[in-house]
Order: sequence, then structure tokens, then C-alpha cells
Amino acid sequence: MTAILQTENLTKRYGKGRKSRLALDSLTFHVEEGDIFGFVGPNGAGKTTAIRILTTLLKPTAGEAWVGGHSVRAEPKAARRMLGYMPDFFGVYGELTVQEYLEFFAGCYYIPPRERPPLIADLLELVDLGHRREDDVDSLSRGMKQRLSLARTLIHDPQVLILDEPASGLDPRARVEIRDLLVELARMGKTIFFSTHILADVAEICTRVGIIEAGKLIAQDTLAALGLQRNTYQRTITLEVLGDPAEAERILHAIPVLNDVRPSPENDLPPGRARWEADFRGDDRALSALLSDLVEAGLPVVHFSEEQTTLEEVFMQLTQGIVS
Amino acid sequence: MSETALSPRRPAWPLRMWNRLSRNPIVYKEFRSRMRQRRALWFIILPLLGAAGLVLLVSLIVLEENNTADFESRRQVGQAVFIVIIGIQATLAMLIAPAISAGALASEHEHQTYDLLRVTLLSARSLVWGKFVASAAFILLLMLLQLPLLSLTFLFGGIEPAEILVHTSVNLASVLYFCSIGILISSLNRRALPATIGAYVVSALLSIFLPLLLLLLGALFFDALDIPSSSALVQAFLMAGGLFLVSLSPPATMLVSENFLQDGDLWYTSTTLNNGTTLYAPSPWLIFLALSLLLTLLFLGLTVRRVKRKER
Repeated sequence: MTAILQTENLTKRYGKGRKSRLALDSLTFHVEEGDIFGFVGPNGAGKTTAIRILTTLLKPTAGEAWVGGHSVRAEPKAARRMLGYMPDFFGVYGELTVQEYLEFFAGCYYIPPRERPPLIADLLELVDLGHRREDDVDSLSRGMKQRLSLARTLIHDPQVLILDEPASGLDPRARVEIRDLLVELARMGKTIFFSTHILADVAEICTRVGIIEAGKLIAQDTLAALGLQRNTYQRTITLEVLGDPAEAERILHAIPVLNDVRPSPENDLPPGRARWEADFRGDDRALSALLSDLVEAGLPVVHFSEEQTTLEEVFMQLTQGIVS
Repeated sequence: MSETALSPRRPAWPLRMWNRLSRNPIVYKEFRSRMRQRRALWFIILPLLGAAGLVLLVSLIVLEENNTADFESRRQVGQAVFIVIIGIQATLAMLIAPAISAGALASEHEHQTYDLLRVTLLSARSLVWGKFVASAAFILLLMLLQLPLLSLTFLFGGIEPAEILVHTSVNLASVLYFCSIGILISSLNRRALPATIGAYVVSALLSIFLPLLLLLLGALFFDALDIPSSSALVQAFLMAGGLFLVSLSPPATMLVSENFLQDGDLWYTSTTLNNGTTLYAPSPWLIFLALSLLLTLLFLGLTVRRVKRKER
């Protein structure tokens, strides 16, 4: 796999002197060909700044970024040829029809006039707007505008799509439609890099995730790996034991790797059983060792499980709400 | 046969420029969008109705005053019609051109389409030239619509072709000049309204206040240095300086050029200095054409630079 999108120590500082603000702090990440990469972070984390640098709209203060191997600083035109950009707002030319809107952007990419009609027809078919081609752009719903915007990003057949909050402000149905479109585009060989607040979308479609906070990348991996890198994230263990609850509690408190041992709020158990919850930090080997330790300590364990950590929880654990 | 011999000849630069402009998507988009706006209809109809009404009014006044329709009266009507049409064209150039062009780039920010354009392969130069050509072409279209009324002057007489050449060329150059000011101001603003106000202020400063200020400073300078105005050098300086100041302002250019035309000086004028030397100077309209085209290119160059710098 080769990196189609890459940044190295990307730094952006707005303003000068005391009032300057560091928006990106040595951001380093890469996106491999064919990835659907979710760029997740709280408001003000630096997602849009990073995207604006990647799309050649903003010059970094330091560091470098490449799109398809082309430096966004040294070869902005070559980088632009490789990427399609959809911002978090919809740029409107209210007086143009859907067809004219796409024709205009085809012109901006110098696509020969004779090639435009079939290309536009295909794109409108892809985003399911073929029936609205003669309608004014202004008359489309927000979801339709977003799909048209996606068609615009594809007009020059770019290899990478950089999308800033593509599903923000959409109703659930439109969100699912956009999500499905992104999956379809990835299937067609496009690499997709998108920022979002909607973690469910990330969990649903992303192959890799980068989490950014205060301009720094704090995690970057596959979803599975992020879920498995539990030695850094807190995991919650649920266990059911037989016998005297007080004795069980004493043993559990004596295990050093367990924190905040507490009775489970769901205690609808048959007599003689007790359910406990505890926080634990460690990888899967440590988790397995913990079970052995509990059994060796004489605790009659009848149920031992880990609560599935959602992406929201990972995100909340990793980020501290710091805004750069 | 060598490959060089087979390769097609490179077209001449006007053709290359035309090809480039005809491929510029901004020009098409701007025209399409502008002509679909409701106010475009008013921009077309109002100057036309105003011109027709004024032409009718002055014709009636002239004929009423002379109480006859003889040759001289017809000449006077022709001259009055010409002044009205040229005046309206000058108004279009000085009042409508800055307003139309000032929104060109600022409106892209307002419609949140600026970034979309900047990530395409469209260069900053194509963007700026596309906006400039579209704005200027719209004003030229409005001027073109006045042609049938202007042709009335040929029917009535009283106007020399030289006058049409002078005033029309000054108006055409004014359109380019004021559109370039509008585009430059537009690149400095993210909203159309402040850009429009700024374009009007800069246009007024450059074509009214700057010449007046220079005139005043010049008078003070000569007064302070107590230079006798009879000196041939001062005479030459005053003439050159005066012509330059006049040529900064389109209305002043037209008035002084018209005066020169009355003396039969279309291309240049001459004056004999106190030391007997004859000084030749081009007519202000020629200076204005050169100056305005130069400034137009300068302003467009600055706009392209500004648009490029926004990436930084």
C-alpha cells in the first residue's frame, strides 16, 4: 500500500506575536490508497485547517503535505488535479441549473466540451440526480445539494476525495445516502478522507481513523486496532461471582490492576450470585492474566466479559476537550 | 519532412487571447448568471428608456426654441442628442462599471464558492480576467444598446466622425479602467457592499479628487517658489502638467478634447512658448487612452497577485 495523502510535521500558526494561535502542531499522518479515512476531532481541533492545507487553499507555517506524491506547496496544480474537495458549506450559484453547475466546473478543469454531457449524465446518475438536471440548484434540498456537491468533486475523476463534514446538517436519510455513496466511491477505487463529528458514520464506513485534538494527532489506526489498543484506553470489565459478596469484594479490591471496583447497577441475579464492574487498563494478554489471577485468588467466577467500547467512548477517552 | 514543418503554426497573440477567453468558463457563467437576474432587465431597460426620454425632450426643446426645423435647428438637435447619449454612456462607465465589477470576486466569497474555484485548475489570472471581461462586456452591451439612438445624430447632423471617435473611445477605455478598479477592490473585500462603496470612493478619488488636489498643489508650488509664469520652461511644465491632470478624469478629458476639436486639433495640439519655441502635445483623449489602459493592466496585475496571495 502506498500513501496517497501524507503530512509531515504540518504546522499552522495564525497571526503573529503574542496574539498568534497554533492551529496545527506538527501534524503527521498518512492515508493509504483505497482508504476511507475518518478525521475525527472536537470543534476547533484543526480539522478544517488541515483540510485547507491539503487542498492547497492555505499555506502551512511549517512542515509539508503531499497529495498523490505532489507537494501542496511546490506543485499545487498537480495536487489539485489529484483531489476533489467538498467543503462543509455548499457553494451556490443560484441562477444555474444542476446541469449548468456541473458544466461550469467541468470547464474549470478544462474538460473538453464534447466530453462533458456524457460525463455529467454519468455523475448525475451516480448521485441519483438525473431527474433534476434542468432544475435550478437553489431548488434542491440540502441532501440533494450535498449529493450534487459530491458529483462536482468527481467531475475531473480525482483519485482522492477530501470532504469536510460531508454529513453535517443532513437528516438521517440524507446522511445514510451520502454514507452509501462514499462506500460506493471507495469501491470504485477512490480514496476518501473526510472529517466529521458523527462518530457513527466513522464506525460504519471507515477503514482507518485519525483523531485530532488541539492541532495534534493523538491516534491514527484502523478501527479494529483502535478498539484493540486498549492498553492506552480504559476498559470496563463485568464479572459475576458465586458465594459471599463481601469476600468477593475484598478479593477484587486486592487485585492491583483493577480500579473503581463497584457493584453492577443491573443486579437482577439469582441468589448466591453477585455482579461487579471494574475499570481496567491493559491489553488482551493482561486481560487474560487478570482472569487467571482472579481464579487463582479463589474467586468463583461464573461470568467474565468486557463492555464493548464504542468509538464515542474511545474519542472521549482520548480527547480532553482542548481547543487549540 | 521534419516534425517542425508538420507542426501547426502558433496563432497570432490576439487569436490566442481570444481562444483563451472563449474557453474561460467564468465568462460564460457570469453572463448566464447576470442575464438571469431580475435586475439585469432593469440595467438594460432603464438606461435605454432614460436615453430615449432625454433625446425626445432635448429634441423638442431645441425645436421649440428655434420654432422651426431648418438645417441649423436639425444640427442643434443632433448635437444635443449626441451629448445625451455620450453622457449616458459616460454615466454607465463611471457609475455602473464599478458597481458591477466590485461584486465580482466578493460575491464568490458571499456565495461560498471562492474556495471551490480556487481548488480547480483555473489559474488566478483566468479567474480575474474572466471576471473582468464579463463585467466589462456587460457594460459594453448596455452601451451597444444605445447605438440606435446615437445613430439619430447622423440623421440630424451636426456631429463630426472625429467627435464620435474621441468620445466613444474615452467611454470604452473608461469602462475598462473603472471595471479594473472594481475588480481590484473586490479582491480586497469578502462582501459585495463594502467592495462597491470602496470602488466608488477609489474611482472618485482617482478621477475627481486626485486631479483637483494635484492642481491645487501645483498652484501652491508655483506660488511658493515665486516662479514667473512667463518662463518658457514653466509654460511647458504647466501645459504638460495640465494635460496630465485633465487626462486623469474622463469627463475633463472629453471636455478639453472637444475644445481642441473645435480648433481642429484631433490628435495633437501646439502652442508657441514665450521664447518662440512651438510645443506639441497629444490631445488629452490620447493621453487618457494610454494612461487608462496602462492603469487597467496594472490594477488587473495587482488583483491577480492578490488572488494568488490568498492561498498563503
